[in-house]
Amino acid sequence: MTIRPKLRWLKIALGALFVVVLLAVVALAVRFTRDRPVECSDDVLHFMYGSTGGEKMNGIPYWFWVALPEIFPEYLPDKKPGRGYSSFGMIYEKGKDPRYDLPVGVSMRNYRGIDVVYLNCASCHTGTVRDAPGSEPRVIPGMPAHTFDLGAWGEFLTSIPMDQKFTGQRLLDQIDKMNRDPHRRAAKPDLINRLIFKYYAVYLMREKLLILGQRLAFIDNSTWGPGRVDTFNAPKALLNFPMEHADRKELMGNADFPSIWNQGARKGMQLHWDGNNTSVDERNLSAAFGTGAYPPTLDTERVLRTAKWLETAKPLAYPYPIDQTLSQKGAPIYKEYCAGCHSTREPPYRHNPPENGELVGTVVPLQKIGTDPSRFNSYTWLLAVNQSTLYAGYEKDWGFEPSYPQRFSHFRKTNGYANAPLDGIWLRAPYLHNGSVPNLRELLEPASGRSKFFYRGNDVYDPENVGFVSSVAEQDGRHFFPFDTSKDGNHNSGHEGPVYGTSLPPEQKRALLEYLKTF
Amino acid sequence: MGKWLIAIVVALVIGISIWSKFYWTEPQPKSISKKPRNDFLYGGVGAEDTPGLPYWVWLALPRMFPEYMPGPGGYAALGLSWEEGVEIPVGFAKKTVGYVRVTGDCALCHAASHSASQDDVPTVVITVHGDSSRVDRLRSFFTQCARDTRFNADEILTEIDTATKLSFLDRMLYCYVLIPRTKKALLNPDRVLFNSALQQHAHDPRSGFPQPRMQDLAAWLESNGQKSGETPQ
Repeated sequence: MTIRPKLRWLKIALGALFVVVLLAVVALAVRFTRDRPVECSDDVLHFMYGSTGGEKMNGIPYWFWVALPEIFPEYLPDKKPGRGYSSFGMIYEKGKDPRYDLPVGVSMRNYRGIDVVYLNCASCHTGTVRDAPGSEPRVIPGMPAHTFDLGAWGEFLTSIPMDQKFTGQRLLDQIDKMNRDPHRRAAKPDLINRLIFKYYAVYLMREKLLILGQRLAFIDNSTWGPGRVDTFNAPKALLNFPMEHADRKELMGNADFPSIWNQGARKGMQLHWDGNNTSVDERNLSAAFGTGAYPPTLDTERVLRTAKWLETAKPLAYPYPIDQTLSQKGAPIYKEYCAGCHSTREPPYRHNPPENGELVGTVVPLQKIGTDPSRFNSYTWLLAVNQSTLYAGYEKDWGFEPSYPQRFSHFRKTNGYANAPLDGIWLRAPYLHNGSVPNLRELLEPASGRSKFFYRGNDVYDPENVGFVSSVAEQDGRHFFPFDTSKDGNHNSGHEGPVYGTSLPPEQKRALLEYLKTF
Repeated sequence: MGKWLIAIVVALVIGISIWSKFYWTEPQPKSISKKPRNDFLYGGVGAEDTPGLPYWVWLALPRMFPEYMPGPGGYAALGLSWEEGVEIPVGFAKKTVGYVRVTGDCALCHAASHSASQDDVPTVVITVHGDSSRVDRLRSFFTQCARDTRFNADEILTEIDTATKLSFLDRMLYCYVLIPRTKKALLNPDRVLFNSALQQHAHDPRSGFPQPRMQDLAAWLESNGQKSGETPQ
């Protein structure tokens, strides 16, 4: 008789406990399976801030991202906290707070309950142009990120795990100082995330950065400077090639970030500076590895959205005055000297497949073009064949027609550098694949008449020479990158001689230059 | 009655899944099987008889153990020919028998890379006279991998996770069956790579083949391969 009420209470208590545990399990299951990328209504915004999926494997927790420049200002180029990542040349749009907002080219995704951020396409393919020092920059999606020093940014990240300040408690202390600010872009971390940050994320990040640092150690990213990357030594690191046994000549492949407009008209062309791939899709997915998007983490729909937009994306028209009469005189000169390789101003640039004599999107042998061989040598047959294993096993599963992504099968070792269309050429300074010629005026001079030393990374435009200001070492506290054309990978030779227009009389060069502003 | 029915259905489903993961055979793509040259370079010669290398283990090993490679280039660093755009080097056959597996074929010894100069892209030359040096290098690579403590399910699956997303069933299969079994088998790589016919042929190249498939390939090689002394084209 006395046992029954007790049993009843026990039953109620057990039942309640069961419900609580069940709810907790469901809540945790929902939380740890969450995968919610930022949504952008507009294609341009999606390009600048949307996700490729890379955050899933390589993402940095948002709260670490904002805390790191504050804790480790000594590893920033200007050594100043409070300015986010702007000293790497990352772009914060007008009205944004660099301490809390994300720069152009960084996307956010809530993955397993944590807001994580990482680079997307726009980090290397969006730039700025200013009319004068101190004036408001125009942000131009699709142009080379000529101010962004990816190498320095990588150096910053890989320096951190070696530092004794990189501890969970230190990060939490910094996050506590920042997490009530109204400018914050992610929710204040709750208890679970604080525990994850302190006891798991910091160790995982250290491990990943140490591995990354070691794998990339054979690449000297201090030689890149803003607007450049050693494109094809990175996949060798990804494939974990034992590079200590590599031929020295392949160890440096520094090249300018390219512009990425009008991709539809580039289908079937030999893409990349050395023309090593004729598939726009493969080229995109290969580049997406740089944003951390690996086959298992690729956000197919979002990458396709960007790819679709890029098919018809257009460069900004030249905003400064153009001498129309002079430009019209330049048109026939362009047709005679340049159009054979670089095609017309507007797409379509060529027939597909190309008709006889259409050389745009094909490769000119290295001996003939005579430009710096480093980028060419960095891409090897051994890499090309191994890239054929990337995205293996993916054809069946995705439900896209034609199936996407597919295993890479278009990478080839070529014998030179590819002829690219010149859309938006005014925004693509400095010139040649290694960015060794500061402006278009100098590109029309033989190598002997080109600058041997200049500065990269300034976004103030120089309409006179058609390029960015390259004679200034420092401006508004920002130090530009000293570019010495005598160094390995930086040679400014090639693309010279009568057929390249470098022997034209000065007035014809002026006319050609004026015409090129209309691209 | 109902209970029994459910039990039978469940047992059938489990049985069929397990059976399919070990025995379900898919023919190689027509681009290989219908072209005699490709069939010689990439065609299976009896993958069914050997456990082979599970494909994702095959893929992961060069990425995991660069220290046992003589230089950059994955399997090509071991001297294997590899045609641009093709998934797998010459001399390996990729075939689904239960799981996707990689085995050796005739071209591992009977094909070589030829390039006019160091900077030229090599072409594949099919040779009548075999050269087992590539097998020696593969054998040494695989054995060193298998002896390494990092050859375990945890570390190999971590590497595979950068390349593909395995289904739950495949993950279990790799974790508990294929990786441990491959580790053991690779201590004697010949048994993994070659079926008994090829092993015997390696010991005594002059002995003929009883299998019609092997006889066909040998005949094709005799009339299409380069004889030694001929200059490769």
